[in-house]
Amino acid sequence: MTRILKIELKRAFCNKLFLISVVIGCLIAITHVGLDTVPLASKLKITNGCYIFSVFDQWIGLKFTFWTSLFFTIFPLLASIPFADSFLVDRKSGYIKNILTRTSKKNYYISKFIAVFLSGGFAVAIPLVFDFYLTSLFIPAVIPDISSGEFPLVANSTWVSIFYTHPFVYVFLYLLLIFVVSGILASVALAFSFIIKYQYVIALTPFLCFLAISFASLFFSDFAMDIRTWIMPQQAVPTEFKYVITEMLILVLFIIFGYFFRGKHDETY
Amino acid sequence: MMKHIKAWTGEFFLFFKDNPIILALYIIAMPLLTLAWIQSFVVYAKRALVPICFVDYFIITKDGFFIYMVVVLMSILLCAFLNKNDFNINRIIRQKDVRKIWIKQTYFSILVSFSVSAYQLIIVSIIGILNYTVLINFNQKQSLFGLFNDGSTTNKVVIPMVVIASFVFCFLAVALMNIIYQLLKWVSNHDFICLIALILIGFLDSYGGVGIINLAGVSYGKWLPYRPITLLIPILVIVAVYVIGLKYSEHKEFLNAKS
Repeated sequence: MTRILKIELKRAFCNKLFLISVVIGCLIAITHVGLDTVPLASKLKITNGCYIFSVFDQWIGLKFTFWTSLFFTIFPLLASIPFADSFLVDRKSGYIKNILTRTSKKNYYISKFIAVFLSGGFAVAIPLVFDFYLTSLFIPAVIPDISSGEFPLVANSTWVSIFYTHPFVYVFLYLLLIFVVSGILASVALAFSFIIKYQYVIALTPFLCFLAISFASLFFSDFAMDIRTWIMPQQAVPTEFKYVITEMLILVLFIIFGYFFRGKHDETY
Repeated sequence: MMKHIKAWTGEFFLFFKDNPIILALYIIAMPLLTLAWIQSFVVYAKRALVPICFVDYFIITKDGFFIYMVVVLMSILLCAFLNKNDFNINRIIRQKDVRKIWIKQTYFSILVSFSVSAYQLIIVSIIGILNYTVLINFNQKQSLFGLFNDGSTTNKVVIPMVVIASFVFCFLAVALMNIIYQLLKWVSNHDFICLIALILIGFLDSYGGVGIINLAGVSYGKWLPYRPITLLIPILVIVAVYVIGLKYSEHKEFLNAKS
């Protein structure tokens, strides 16, 4: 198991596509900092009675700009670029047949899932951490004060008390949530690999799932259901964990039945 | 050329005969997604206490995000399925002239764009007919038109004009994006990279204010007064992209292309 996992992780991370994905994300982060944060930092003056900007409302996760919207719309694509289609490629090229002569099917399938999940999660989380780091270079990490009215989180927002007392913990928790969601979305492509035979369509399936959930939220007129809404740490509509858990549970069940269960009964040779 | 067009049209219809599941998916998905999109505006109008008229349905379904993420994306995937074997070495040798492949792909793009736009027009018309309370209310402040135009109204808009303009715009926008996608595919050889590029273009157009939706769209702001001449812009760009593709196809190297 460890050996095949190492191989899969190496294939997932020491990979040109992983680099491309991270570079695209980081370019968005750099543009956001260059166009929004740097001009703001030049105006920064500490005066009595005036609450200065904080990194916690200026980084890409908490400030609503064009770049925020762009990043949180294309994040399923960033997650799927590195390794999501690798299972189909392995099946098509016959690589899986060679691997399964040396290790068990279970080991290979679990290793593949872990590699896809982690590569998807890191491809999205790294640019966000990078943006937070870049923003921190220009804007001070002032502890948010609810009375300043500068911060987007309101009384009924999720983890609002953590945000106003331990903002670093809030940022970390949201990064963790984004990491997990990106990983799950990237892994959805594994389940589709048994159904669809086109490589680029497989890589697009996480984005299509994301769009499907967005349109479902429009259909039911409940914006809190939309991944695009609840994935953003700024919580324009307060995050409702019943939706987060339900949507992720559906996707995880789809992965379990569509990938692990189907894979168990799949005839590789 | 007529002989080729006839053969390509046959190939186009044969594709759907061979792939009924893809056709069924399109037939089912399009009305559902359109209905979901319209529903969000219906709720918005209810909250704003304004009635939705028949013509509104045609305009709200020409929003940038919807056009790119549903209509353009669906038609591009369809074109990609249709053209999946075009860069096969054996097929290229059989064609004798590489430019024929580019012309065929452009023809398919136009056919797909027309079919998808026409289907969307039918869906929106049906939804509109089933739900409308008034045919047109652009002359009232208490309307979606007035709401999006800060209270401005107009008497000069007629229903056929909106229906035709929205159809032509949808067709041209989808055709343009399809042809740009084909050109990117010829240049990069990677479907997925082209898709990402197009999604980025779509996003810039929808939210960044740069692109075809902003130049030639049929949003509420464009009807004070409407200038049909703007529809010439996508036509000119389509012709330009077609000519670029034709010139590029003469020099295209297929040795490393994936079949």
